[in-house]
Amino acid sequence: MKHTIWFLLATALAAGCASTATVPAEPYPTAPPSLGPAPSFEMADPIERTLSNGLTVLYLSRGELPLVQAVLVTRAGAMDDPADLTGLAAFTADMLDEGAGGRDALELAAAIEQLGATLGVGAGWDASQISLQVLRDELPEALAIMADVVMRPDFPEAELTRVRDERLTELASARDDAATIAGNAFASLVYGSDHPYGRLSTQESARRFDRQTLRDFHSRYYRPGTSTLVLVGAIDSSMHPQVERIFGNWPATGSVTTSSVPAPPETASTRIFLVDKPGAAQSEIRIGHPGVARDTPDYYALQVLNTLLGGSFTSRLNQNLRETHGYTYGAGSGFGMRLGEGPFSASAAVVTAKTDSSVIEFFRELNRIRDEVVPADELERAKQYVALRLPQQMETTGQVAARLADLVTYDLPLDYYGDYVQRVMAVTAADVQRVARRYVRPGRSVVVVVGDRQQIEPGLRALPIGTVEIRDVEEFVR
Amino acid sequence: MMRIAILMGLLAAAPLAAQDVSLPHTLFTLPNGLTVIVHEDDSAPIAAVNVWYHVGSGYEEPGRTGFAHLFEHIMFEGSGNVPEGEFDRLLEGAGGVNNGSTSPDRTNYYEMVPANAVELALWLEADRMGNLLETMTQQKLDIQREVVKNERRQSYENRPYGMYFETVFAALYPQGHPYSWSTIGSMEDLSAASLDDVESFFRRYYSPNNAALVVAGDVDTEEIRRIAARFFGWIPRGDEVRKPDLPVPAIPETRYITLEDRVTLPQLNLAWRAEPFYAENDAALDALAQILSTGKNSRLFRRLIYDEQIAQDVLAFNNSQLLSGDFFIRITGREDLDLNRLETAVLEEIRRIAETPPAPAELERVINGIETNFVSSLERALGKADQLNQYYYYTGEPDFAAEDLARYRSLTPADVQAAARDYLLNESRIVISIVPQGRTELAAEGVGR
Repeated sequence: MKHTIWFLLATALAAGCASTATVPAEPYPTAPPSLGPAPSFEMADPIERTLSNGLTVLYLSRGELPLVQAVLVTRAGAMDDPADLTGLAAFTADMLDEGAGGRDALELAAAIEQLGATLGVGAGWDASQISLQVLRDELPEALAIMADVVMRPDFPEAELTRVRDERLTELASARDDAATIAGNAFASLVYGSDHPYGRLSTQESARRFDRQTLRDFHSRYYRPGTSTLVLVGAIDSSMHPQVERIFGNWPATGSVTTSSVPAPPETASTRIFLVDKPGAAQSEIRIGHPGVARDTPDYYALQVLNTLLGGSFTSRLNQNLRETHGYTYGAGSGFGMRLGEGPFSASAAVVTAKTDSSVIEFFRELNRIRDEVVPADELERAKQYVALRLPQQMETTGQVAARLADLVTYDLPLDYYGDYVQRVMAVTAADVQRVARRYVRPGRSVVVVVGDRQQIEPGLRALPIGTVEIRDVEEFVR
Repeated sequence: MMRIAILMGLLAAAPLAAQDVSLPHTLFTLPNGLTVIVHEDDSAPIAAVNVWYHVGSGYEEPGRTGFAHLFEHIMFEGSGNVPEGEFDRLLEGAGGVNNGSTSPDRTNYYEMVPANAVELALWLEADRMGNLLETMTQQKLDIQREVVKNERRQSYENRPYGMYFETVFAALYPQGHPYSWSTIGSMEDLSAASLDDVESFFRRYYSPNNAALVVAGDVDTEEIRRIAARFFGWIPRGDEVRKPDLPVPAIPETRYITLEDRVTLPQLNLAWRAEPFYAENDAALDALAQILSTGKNSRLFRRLIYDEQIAQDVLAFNNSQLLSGDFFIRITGREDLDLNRLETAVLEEIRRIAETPPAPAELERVINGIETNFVSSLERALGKADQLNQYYYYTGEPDFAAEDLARYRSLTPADVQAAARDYLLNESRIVISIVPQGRTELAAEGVGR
């Protein structure tokens, strides 16, 4: 594969596919064909209904295939993990389909598979999601199973022990993977253990998960009043009475007192943390600091900024470290926008012998994006890239359902995408420089390098970038 | 790791569906031999362009392993009318994305664009098909060589268990057989690749008559016909390329190989010879793989992860290719587990299926899942474009969907039983234990037989 795809929220629009008709007699063109106007793209707003217990239901009829994607999103995420129980939201979600509504784990799995359906469970920082993909004809039956999983999980003791052992084994083997170590070290060193974004999931915390802990977390956070069911595809709101029968008996238990994310610690200067991985063929590099929350008014400018810094193949970081120098298979950057101020990070896996040179190039680009106004053609390309990809990012029912679930999680209006393109296209070079200076801070960064210490330490110590501290793998994966 | 990505893609998108499933299309061939396939779908204002060149690592020679994939990288570095870097800049500026991948049998390139940019994507494909060598330089080769070496480091060498595929293919195929090496190739051969190699490889394999172009999405077939003639029609036909027709000998005897890696958990890997794409029994082997490892009720998950709780993960998959196929089972054990115990259990489960056909409900669950996946795969223009190219390359018929579906729907439990018996139980296999450094005592060594 030519390149890995970088994480970046993108989007866009346009109208009327009228490419110029050509005739075979015309000669081969030596210049790129000019583009007609981009096609228009409109996404209908979902229809919103509310059940008497407070559950919001969104219906979006879409496409001609007999397929439905359902997502139940509830406001329970890793940010709500108690300090001594990191990983609880994710573990609770994982356990939902291990027995529910009178079926044990094997019966649940068999029932879903028999319908040709796929059921997924998981928790992110800000929300947990239970998702279902199923053919239209099997939807009512599959939705009833999904409701059991959401509302009536049993958390059986035997399954809990098994899944907990799997989690402990997974945590024990996390030390094998340099990228995992780097990710953990970066989060820990940027946010510290006093902040939820800096607390690591550990074997010690996983050992504390018991049935009562899970039941408490479930009853506290999985409530109809703070949940939304998203239905996309071969469906419309005429199915509402059926949905009401299936989800209407979820008892209303009022709203949750949700956690709020504290402000992240200040970083005063740049520090390099070297984690030894003897014999590693590459060094995993992470550079960054606390970033910005999803509700920032600078959202669109930041999307454009990140696209040209490290969010696309032609971005400065990828062009520099990969295409100019050949140090890596791919370099990039991203803003982890959450309810709180998630991290900004730039990252790459680079060949061991070029570790210090790579760090220099990272800092060259992180400084240049602040110091110089972005040229007009580069800015335009980044804006088009963010804006015009919306139709392909909304191609499948699963993609659309995920977008709607995100709107719910971040309390954004359901017609959010109506003016998305205009907002992206309104970003100016001055906006980009302003947000770069505010949200990209190379002089106050954490630099994590996971690699072969013997080979890379002298080079890192010689860099005029920051102090170098040696840390143990065991600090970050345990 | 592209090979894995491709394997997984096939599993996830194994085609099936309602009785009347089809991929309607128009196929035409330009005078220079380029096959063009157009599928209209106006459900979204987007289009996918997907070019398959009928060459992959299976066409390589010893001493130049990895070259087909290295060449794939070079294809993005500009061509006669496209300065270096412009390929990506033009597409991104139009709101498009692009990429490519290399397998043993073929190399594909694709763009996903708003519908107004389909002409741009086609022109960029045409220019590199017709004018790649005009602007080729040593520097382009050298940089991409370093990038690919880093891809190898990132996806193979520095990844836990990452050296498995290279090891198993060398054991599954005779020395010198092009399926005996991985698509990424060796560091030594990557270092040896020269500009002369680039030129001769391009002339030999990248001719219009050795490629097929699919356009799928919100496009007009007649307009694509005109554009294709203008953009691609002038490119000269090349010498005919014959698909490799090499013998694929059976695995002569069961072999045990042990690799030490910087890992915490020991992993057992088994591999058998299977069947080429769409050959008889290929579908039965797909179903067998799922009955073994998909879902909590699958035989291996249920026994090893659920009941005995001695394994962390389990995966069985049937990897079909042009000349042959291979059937893989991978099980990661819990810490300190003796892998002989895993092998014994796996062989017992295979024997159970070989002796007693799976229950009809077991097979039905698998077929139902495959059908839903097939409908789901029709949601994506790019997925359909690649599927048309895949069917065309392996069967000669771009719309093989109904036949493909039928071969799963017609499966019986006895077919799955026979596959377990004839391909796994009664055949030699390659067993590779990947153990923590210094822990070779955990490796499987044949006591399970």
